[in-house]
Amino acid sequence: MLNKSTIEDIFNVALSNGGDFAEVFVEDSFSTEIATVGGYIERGMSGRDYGIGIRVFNGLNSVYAYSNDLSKDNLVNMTKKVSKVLNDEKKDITVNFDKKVEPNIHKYNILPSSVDLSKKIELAKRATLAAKKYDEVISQVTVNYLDQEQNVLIANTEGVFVEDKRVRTRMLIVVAAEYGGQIETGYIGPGALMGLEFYDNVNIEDYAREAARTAKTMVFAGYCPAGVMPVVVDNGFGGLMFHEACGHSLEASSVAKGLSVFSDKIGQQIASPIVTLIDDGSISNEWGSLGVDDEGKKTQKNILIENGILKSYLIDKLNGRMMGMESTASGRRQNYRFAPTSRMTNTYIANGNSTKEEIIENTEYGLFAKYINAGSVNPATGDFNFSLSEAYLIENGKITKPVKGATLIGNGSRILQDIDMVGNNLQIGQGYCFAESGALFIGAGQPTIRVKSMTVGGREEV
Amino acid sequence: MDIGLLFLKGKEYGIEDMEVYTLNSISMGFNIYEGKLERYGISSERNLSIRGYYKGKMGYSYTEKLTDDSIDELLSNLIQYAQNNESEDVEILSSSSNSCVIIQKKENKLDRYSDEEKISFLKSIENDAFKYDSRIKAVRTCRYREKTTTVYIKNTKGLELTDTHSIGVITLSVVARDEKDVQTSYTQMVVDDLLEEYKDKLVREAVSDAVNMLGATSIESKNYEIILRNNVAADLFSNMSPIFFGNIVQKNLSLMKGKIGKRVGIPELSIIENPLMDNGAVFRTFDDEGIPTYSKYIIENGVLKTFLHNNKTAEKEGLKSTGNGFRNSHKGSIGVLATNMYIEKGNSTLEEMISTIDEGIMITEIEGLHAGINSISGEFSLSSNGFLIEKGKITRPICQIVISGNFYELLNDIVSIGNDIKFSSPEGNYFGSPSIKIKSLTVAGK
Repeated sequence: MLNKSTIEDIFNVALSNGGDFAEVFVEDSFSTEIATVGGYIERGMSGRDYGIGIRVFNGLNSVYAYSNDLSKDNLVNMTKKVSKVLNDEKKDITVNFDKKVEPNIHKYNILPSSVDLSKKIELAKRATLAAKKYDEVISQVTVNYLDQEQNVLIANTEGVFVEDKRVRTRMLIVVAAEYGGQIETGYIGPGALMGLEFYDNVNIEDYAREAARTAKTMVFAGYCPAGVMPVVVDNGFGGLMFHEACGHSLEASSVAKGLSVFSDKIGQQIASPIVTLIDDGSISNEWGSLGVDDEGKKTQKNILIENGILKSYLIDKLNGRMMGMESTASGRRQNYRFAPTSRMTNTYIANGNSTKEEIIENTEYGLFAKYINAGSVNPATGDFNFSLSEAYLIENGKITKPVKGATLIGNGSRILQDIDMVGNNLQIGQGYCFAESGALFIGAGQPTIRVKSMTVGGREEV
Repeated sequence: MDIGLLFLKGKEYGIEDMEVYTLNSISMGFNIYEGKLERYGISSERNLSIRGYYKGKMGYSYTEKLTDDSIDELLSNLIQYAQNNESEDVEILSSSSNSCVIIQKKENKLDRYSDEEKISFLKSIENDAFKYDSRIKAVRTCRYREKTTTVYIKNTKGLELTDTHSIGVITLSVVARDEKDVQTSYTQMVVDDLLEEYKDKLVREAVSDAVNMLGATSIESKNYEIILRNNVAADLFSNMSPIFFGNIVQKNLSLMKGKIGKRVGIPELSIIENPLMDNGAVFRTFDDEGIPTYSKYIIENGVLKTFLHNNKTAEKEGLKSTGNGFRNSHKGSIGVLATNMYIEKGNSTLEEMISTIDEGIMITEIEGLHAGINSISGEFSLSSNGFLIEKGKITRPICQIVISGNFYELLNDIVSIGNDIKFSSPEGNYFGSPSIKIKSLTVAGK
């Protein structure tokens, strides 16, 4: 993708102008991102993403340059300009690309670039038709089809020279239902780190009908009551609650500067003893997985919280320097335009002992969150929020009426202590995470869990 | 990439008319942390997107690899798109006759300063934040970013246009701490110059928000009179602003549909979209279809005047494009976007608004906007922070509450509009709003 001699030139310039470490991230990706409305193309297109990100460290300081002009002159000039800012003397470091990195293998059978666009549009049409036929209240179906073949080359002055191919596809199906002037939506977004063989193994019509079912349920739902109550969050992408409640606060980008609520808490009990939280970027063909992270380190399984005790943070190279800790292969970036930082991959709560039925039966009154929409967190305070796309009241140990417009808020350190039941039906869902180093593909999962009490926002006064 | 060669090859492939859109940008940015320069970065990029008719249908494709060997891939992607494009709507390429735009050049005042001067300006911001109040224990983010973007459009019908705009953005986020509590704040400002008054405003906003929130607790759940402070109102309107976009309206995704000429808000409410605004997030004399842009009222004195249109959405209504045919990037096809939007300021000061409230809440921060609003129904339920107002005075900070209501109802529930416009982040729909007092919202607390 870029020859070794150009990379060596970049490194030489970086090291002679003040850097003690330099890295290149070269990307050549083919992707298709198309939205259909009612089965017809509405926006997006196919194309090639191409460019390089050059990063230079000196101690704890880092500089970054990116460009999609890969001519040697341009790259050398940009490297010179940014490394001069480090304002230090020349370092004597020999680079010989001898550090062998073997990426985790994820098999890809049908590369998206080998498939005609018409086949991809056909998938979107099938989902659209299935959702429309579900019920007469279904008014509109939008499908965001995505595939990406991301080829990266990562090399650094520590001798790493590794290539990784990440092939992904996903269909985000958004279904709107309209009744009595009210419009509500349901969505589902199956995807994988896989070629288009993914669609041979899943029934896209079933997914579309599930999104349609949510939309229909919510259009007939009343408003969610406001107040404090127990909350049961169902298995699957509900794990996004932990992604927000504690995942971000465990990222070295907040921890290193002492700005996280979980800074300096390794070895301490930060969660209820029934909580074990894992981040694993090596799971075969899972949406949030990679062969190597975006700093060229083989992805691995990281146990963050074990039986309530904080075991590890998510660490990238630069923050690792600051903390005096090794990278956990958590350095990620959206593309060459972003310097990597510590981010999540597939983050999930491990199975517990309860069944979903037991959890519901043991809840006299509360909220059942079937599907989560999205959320966010302030890592410094731990305050987080997320909204629900499908929710129900629990009354006398039974799931009763659906409610709409629910937003849950809480505090990460408190909620971790307040988990009082964990189910045994772990599932991982697929989504995106937006933060400093861009929009990333992430998995979030959990079994069904119960939180003793949470503040629920809704329009209905209790 | 040789555009002449691209057009020539396109013809050979059977593409009838074609248009090239290039987006060139250079940027520079850095952070200041504890008095030191951190994360200095530069970039230069050139991205290209094409559209054109193949057998009567429009096709699109893009590349970030601007070498002649990308041409075949670009054209074949365009053709695949066109072959699968079943839209009945006709997208028109503008011809040269449309391009008699009055060229307005804006001076980039940021260019007058060296990198060193920019760095020392930001260092003084961080320093002032610490000095302002001893409870400021960390400056989480003190960041400067500037970007100069050049848009260039050329098509086979003779159109050739170019527009350049520079923007600077300063972000300041601080952490305040006392014996019992930690609070943070976040503020951002688009700057066209490095002025002391900008600095003072940023520091004052960030520091006072974090410090004043210390000791915040929740509050009893019920309905309260509400002030949405300028930054909160701006964020809310920014998120809802697509309800004024022609394509959203035509897809039945906006309850503004069918309301042109009708009253949709209180008579004091006017909303403007101005592509040529001073200190805007963008400055464009033509849109991405080559149509000249202009400033216009979307809502004037409470009455809905117009939606924003591109050629295609305007055509459907028998109207002319309002010059809002924009791509969201080189990877986006022509859609509808707003440039700079704002609510015209009213007469009340924030202090006057507060003094009229017997028991209410001033909301100063909302979170989770990307998920907590149903953009179709206008229903929102948002995690918030703010201050309790009792008998016309702020009495204590409040956190861990959720405010719920409906955006469309809110437009008619406005009691007064302030005179203190603040803009939302330039990374989203750039929207300016003064503080707004509204009758009531449901608040979930304890």
